[in-house]
Parts: sequence; structure tokens; C-alpha cells
Amino acid sequence: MSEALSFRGRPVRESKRNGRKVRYVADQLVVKLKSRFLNDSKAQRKVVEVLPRKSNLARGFDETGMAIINLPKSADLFQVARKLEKQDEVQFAEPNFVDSGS
Amino acid sequence: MMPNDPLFPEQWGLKEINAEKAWDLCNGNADKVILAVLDSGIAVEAGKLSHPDLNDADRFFLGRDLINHDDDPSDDHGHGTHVTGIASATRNNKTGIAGLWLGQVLVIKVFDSKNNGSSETFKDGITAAVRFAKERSSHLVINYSGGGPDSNLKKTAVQYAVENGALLVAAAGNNDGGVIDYPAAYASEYSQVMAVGAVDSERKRPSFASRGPQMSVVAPGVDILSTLPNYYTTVNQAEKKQTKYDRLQGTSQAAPLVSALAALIWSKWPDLPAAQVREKITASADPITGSSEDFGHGMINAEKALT
Repeated sequence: MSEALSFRGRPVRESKRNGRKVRYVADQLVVKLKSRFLNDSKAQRKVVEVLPRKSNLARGFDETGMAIINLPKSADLFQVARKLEKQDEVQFAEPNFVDSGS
Repeated sequence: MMPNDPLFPEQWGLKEINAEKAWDLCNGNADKVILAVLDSGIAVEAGKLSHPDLNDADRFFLGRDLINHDDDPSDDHGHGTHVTGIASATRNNKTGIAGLWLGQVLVIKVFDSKNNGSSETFKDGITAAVRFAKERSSHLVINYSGGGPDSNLKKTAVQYAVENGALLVAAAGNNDGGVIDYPAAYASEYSQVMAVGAVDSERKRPSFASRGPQMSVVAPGVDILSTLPNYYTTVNQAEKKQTKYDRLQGTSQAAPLVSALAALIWSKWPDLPAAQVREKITASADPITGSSEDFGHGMINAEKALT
């Protein structure tokens, strides 16, 4: 893995997935709630409760149930994502993947 | 009819797709079609469109800058201005180049000065474009000359665009003969998504272009002359390009010709759903001898598509 790039001031990490080079914001997680939990403050709280200390919401839950979470440097992004995806209310939790103009 | 734009003779891609004959066939209502360009923005200075070929405020709408979260989508890379020019530079204005589409264009900035975006900016760009088109009860073609890995968020955004009747045209990617990027690769799952590859003037796949089973069509993507900001940006410094007009290559340069053609088709046949606009483009493409993973249905033919 390398960490040479940045996106919007945040570090970008590069790795391989299914033989494809992927880049993602190293300390950011995208979380989306299932549609039946939109605007459900209890479900939102449940997400926040499992986050590592010093995490913060870069973007709070919107009307589609999506939030962007900044994690502390020490956190394992994929481990946190797996933990969140075990919650019934969460549709998915994944890195904020980086795209490029082609 | 041959336009009077002085650089038109150097736009080999427009001749290759029979653009001149296609323009003669266009008599539809362009007011009810929006071409949204999700890219690095457009040439803007002091809040105003600043490129002489992209400065018609009645056509070019400045949407959100989703990188800096403001309403100034000024291009600090150059990629977006180039892509927008290919699709829609003002034609017959005795200036610079000719664009294929002369209707409305919504510019949304989703790439930064290094030409990078994210699944978040893609999703936000799609949402903004759909809302804009809905407010105007217009058909929506979305050009995304970018890509990256598959993601749940990206797919959610594509689903939203599809559910709202939009057609998404995406560059296949420049992975040196490797796999097609997402969202273009969703073309095999959604009939409202197109994956666009590139060819050179001999109709060969350039070595940089991606290939794969999801390929829909190809368009000219090598040595493509188009607009660049009339001020210095990353593309001038990093790639030693001129300001105002210069050549770039990539599947990014191929996609806007397909987007513009989709917009023309929709203006001529407003009752078509997005999937049938795609069908018109693929069915009218000129087959190219070789693998469909390189060329999909072949080279787009604007005249045939509009006949």
C-alpha cells in the first residue's frame, strides 16, 4: 500500500481488489442506512456508538440515509466497516473510493 | 453544412462520426434536454464564463462545485473544459472549434485540480443533475469522463439516475488495455448506462484505452482538439498544454461525443425512454472488425443515429 496522494486534504491509500487497482480516502468511511431507517435517529445513534473514539461526522446523515465519517488515524477502516455492516440498520459501510478523469 | 469555426478542419473526430450531415438532420426541440457534464468544471473567471467558445450564459449553467462546496465550478485542472468543449463548444461563431450539441449544458464540478473525484462527489453530482433536470421537466444526459472501482455508493447513484429517467454516458477508462472502470462497467447491468471506448483515426484501439465485455460503443479519443481554460491550470503545467485550445487523448475525450449525440437524439425524439436512446446509438454504430471488447457495437455514426 502507498499513501502519496491526497483528496480534499485527506490522505489517499492505494491497494488492489480483484486484480484492480483501487484508491480510497484513507481515513473516511461512507455509511448508508437501509431505506426503512431513513431519518431514524435511533439507527443513526447506533452507528455513531460503535465508531472509534475521536471519529467525527464529516457529513451527517442526509435524506438518503448516507453519512461520511472521518476516522482517527489509528483506526482500521475495514474493521470498522465490517462492524457497521453487522448492524441490521446499515445497508453498507465502505471506503470513500477515489475516481479519476480519464 | 460546414461550420465557420476556424479550427473545425482540425476536428477529425467530428468528420469521423458524420457530424456535419447529422446537424442537417437536427430539427428537434433542444430546450427540453439537459446535458450535464460531471467533471473538473469549466473556464470561469470572476464568477463568469470566460472561454470565448463556452461563454453563452443562456446555454451553460454553472452548477455546484462539489469539491469546495460552493457555487463556482471554475476549472482548475483543464479536463472539464476540454470535455465540455468537445460536446458543446459554440458552433458557427467564427471562433475556435465546433461542438456537437448546441443545447443546454449543466456544469457540475466533481474533480479537483488533480483530476480526482470520489464516489461521494459522483453521487452528489448525479443527485444535483437529476434535480436540475426535474425542475425543468427536461430529459437528462449525464457525461462522466471518469471512473474508478465499483462501490455500493456509486451503484446507488446510478440506480437513482436510472429511476429518474436519465442516460449515463461514461468513459471506459485508460487502464492500458485493462478492465473497464465503474460506472461505465454498469452498462452490462443497466440499459440506461453506456461504456464508451476510444479509437484513433485508423479506428484502432489506442494502447491506453480500457477494454471489456461491458463496452457499448467507441468514439474518437486520440489527438482531440478542444477548449482549455484561458488561464493556467494543472493541464498546462503538468502536460505542457496551451491555454484556450489544445489536444488531449483518452476515453474521456470519446465519451462527450456520445453524450452530445444522445442529447441530439432526445431533442429529435422526445418520447423515447433512455434505454431506447442508447439503443439508437448502438444500433446505428459502424461495426469495426475486431473484438467487441475493444469496440462494443462499433464507432458511433451521428448521421445514421439521427436518420
